Amino acid sequence: MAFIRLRNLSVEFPIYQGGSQSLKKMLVAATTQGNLARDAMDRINVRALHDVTLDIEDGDRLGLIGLNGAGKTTLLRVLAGIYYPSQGRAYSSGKVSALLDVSVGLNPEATGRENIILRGMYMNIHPREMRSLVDEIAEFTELGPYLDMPTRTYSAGMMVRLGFAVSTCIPPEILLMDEWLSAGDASFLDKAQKRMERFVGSSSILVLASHSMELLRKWCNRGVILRHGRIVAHGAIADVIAAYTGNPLQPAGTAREPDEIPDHRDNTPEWREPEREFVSATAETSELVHRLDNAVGERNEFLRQRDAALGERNELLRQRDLAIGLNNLQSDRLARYAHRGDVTARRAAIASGARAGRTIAPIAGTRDRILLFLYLAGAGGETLIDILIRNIDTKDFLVVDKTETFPSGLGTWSPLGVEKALARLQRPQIEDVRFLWGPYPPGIGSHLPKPCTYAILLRDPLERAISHHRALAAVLGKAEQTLEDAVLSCHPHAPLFIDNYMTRILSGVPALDPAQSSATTQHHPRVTSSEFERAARNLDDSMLAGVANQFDETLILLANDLCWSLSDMVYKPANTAESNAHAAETAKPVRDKILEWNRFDIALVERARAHLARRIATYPGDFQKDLALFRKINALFQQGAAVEDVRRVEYELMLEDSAKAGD
Amino acid sequence: MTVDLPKPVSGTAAAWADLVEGMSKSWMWSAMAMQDIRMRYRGSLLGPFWLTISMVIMVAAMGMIYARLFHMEITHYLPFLTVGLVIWNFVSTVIIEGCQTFLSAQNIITQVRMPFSIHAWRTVYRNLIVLAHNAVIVPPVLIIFSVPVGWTVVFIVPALVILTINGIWISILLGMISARYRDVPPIVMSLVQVIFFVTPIFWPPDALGTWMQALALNPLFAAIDVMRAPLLGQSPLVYSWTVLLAATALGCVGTFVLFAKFRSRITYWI
Repeated sequence: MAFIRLRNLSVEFPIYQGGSQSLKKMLVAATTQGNLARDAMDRINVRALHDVTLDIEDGDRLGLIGLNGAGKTTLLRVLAGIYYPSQGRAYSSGKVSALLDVSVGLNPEATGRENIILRGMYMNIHPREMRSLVDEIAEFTELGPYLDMPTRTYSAGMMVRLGFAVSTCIPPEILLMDEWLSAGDASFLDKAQKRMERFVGSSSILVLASHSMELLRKWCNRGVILRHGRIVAHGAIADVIAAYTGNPLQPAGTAREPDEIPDHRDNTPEWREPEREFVSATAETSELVHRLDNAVGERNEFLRQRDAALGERNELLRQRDLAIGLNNLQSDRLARYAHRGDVTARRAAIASGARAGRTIAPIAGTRDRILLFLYLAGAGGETLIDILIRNIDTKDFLVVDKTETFPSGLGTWSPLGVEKALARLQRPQIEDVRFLWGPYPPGIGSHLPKPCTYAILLRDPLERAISHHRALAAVLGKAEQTLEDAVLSCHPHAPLFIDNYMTRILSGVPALDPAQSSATTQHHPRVTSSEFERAARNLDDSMLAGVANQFDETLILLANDLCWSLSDMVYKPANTAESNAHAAETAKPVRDKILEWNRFDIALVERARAHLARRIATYPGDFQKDLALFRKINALFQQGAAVEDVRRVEYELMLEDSAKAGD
Repeated sequence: MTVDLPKPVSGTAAAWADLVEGMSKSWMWSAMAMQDIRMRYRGSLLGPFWLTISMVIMVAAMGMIYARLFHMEITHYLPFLTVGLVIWNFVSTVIIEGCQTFLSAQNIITQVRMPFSIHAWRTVYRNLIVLAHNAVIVPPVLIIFSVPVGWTVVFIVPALVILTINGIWISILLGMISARYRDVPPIVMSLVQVIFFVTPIFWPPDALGTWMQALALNPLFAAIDVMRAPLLGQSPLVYSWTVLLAATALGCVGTFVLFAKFRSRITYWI
């Protein structure tokens, strides 16, 4: 028979304010008495629970209702035996299982299965016994293969599933739950409720604290309203909820509106009275009350300011979302043109495709947009950087045959689609570019075409050089070579050109004249060898980290999810002989032009090459591994696999890899 | 329905029950300690054997120099230093980490009810594991320098038991005090550093000459001597055992009194 008895229970928290937690101050206070003593001992007792008397019987499912800070969690902790009451008595009979914090005892690096055992340990269940329960728990969670992944990859809902399943793996007689249950989805909650009903049917107690009236109504048969640590209402759950939401206890507005709360606390006389009772009435009561009132006032002021700040932040977020949304809308319109864009153009494209004996594959959604970009970059023999260069003042380097469709391993593209994509790529705003060149404000990226933004993001000229080399080498069909070979044989100057271009913008020099070498050297001092080392080391880090931090667009996220650097993404997707020839041909004028513009830093680049070659010689394995991984994933893409599948396969490959490394 | 509540459990009885329950849950604290070690060395190649290696390096470096400084035979000095440092390492980390016994378990203490003494056992057991790793270097040193280890070596067993018991009360006591007064851990840490220099670990006790009797005032010397002497083929000084047993008794009783009185407050302190 499980039961809980609380008799005149109070819980007082001593609030140690700085001084009283310091032994030195206590000692000083003890020897000097006087003023210092007061500072050191300024201990205020706050009553979290006040004179609570409550009986909970077998089969009761009790809901705790109250504002934040009303004492719900404290009461649960008392019931769990964590807090010892400072006055009164708490007595319970029956095995207690408490789900107060979903992550307690979980090691985020360990897998779900390992954590089941670990968590069981904290529930006083021997690992041996736990192992026999794992299968049943696994089944209940419905997490399937996720159970073999580290729990740090879990969502809140998945953690709730795991936590609930473990906590109830042995039917508890008394189950205590804090609000986190509401993170579960509806089907899980139903399932959990069925499981609960089985326990409660077999004579046990549930105590649940939640702000969700719906959840409480569903799960509980009795309810208690806590207010400032006191029980103010107690009865059948429906009545209690009606009393709570129907507002006799809560003046004006709903209880859950955060910015309402401070006002009530300030204005209603009701609030003041229990406040005074928080103070232990031993000594200097009036001063303590005064001090406490000040503290409460300060806290309310802080809350008010916080709410104002939150409001401001939300407004900013809303604006940002709007901007991103607009941006997405534009790009989607472009990418989905084959579905619902320019109907006339589409008909014409299909007709021309039919004449040429080809069919036009449908294009839709974000993934296709990425593929379009990959294709453009690949077919043109370009890197992102090249594309940016072209944006600047030469718009004709990428030779696009506007009457033909472009077959590739990734699908077929109509000329109009390509043209629109190009137009989009060629549209960075100078102001934005300049802005980005400095410290990058988060979110600004959403105003720029992504590839361009990214190219600018790589601030270090050598980093840009390396990424360019890799990409260009792959595009020119030399992907079988080592990076070293590719770098040594590809053109080194393009990335530096960007720098010159930026210099030009920033310094206001209208055009870059090769004769004025100061245009490059004045604002772009020579790079030292240590800077080269740093650049090579940071390349991939800064790419991934920078991208992940700056942009929320899908291209970037996908790159991140796949653990690609963006330079990886512009590896040529399909190495057909035809497109290789095309690529080589179209890349040449770009390279020539760049070569012509950048005569200066040959020595610099030579040094960079040598350094890079040394580095690759030192770590050949890493690069080859990445390349192999990328190829496998890319093959999947070409077969038209969904992004989630690719992600899963990649994860498995990485697991395999790390398992090998572990051996 | 009214039910008569049983009489409230006294603080002393609750504290005693806590200790007994903590002791009986050896599977729990040993698993927690193993997990601590695993977390600490996750991803490192040698794992806890890094401790062994750094100990070897420290012993080798100090051995060479101080043998010369103290004009001692390296064959005598190095075993003395090795054994002393290994034991000191255990004793000092138990004291220093003992301060964090409850603070570092804050997450568990505020979420799950379990005996407080489990956290003390976890601290001590974790350091026993570390000690086992460090102790690996002792037998080779003893063999290389052919230290005449006799049957007295069996004394290390009771010595280890006594040290473990001391570790438990120290962890509980310092853990409680540190939870209440947050500047105790740094104080303890600097005290331990000072004690390292005034305890004969890297200098021989007889270097003190007539002052040697003063060592009886240093219980940490006693703690080291009862372990070190048997391993070096000597018998420990008589007063070492006396001092150590007295300190153990005093510490256990004192800690128990405080533990019984303040046990229920620990949750509020952390």
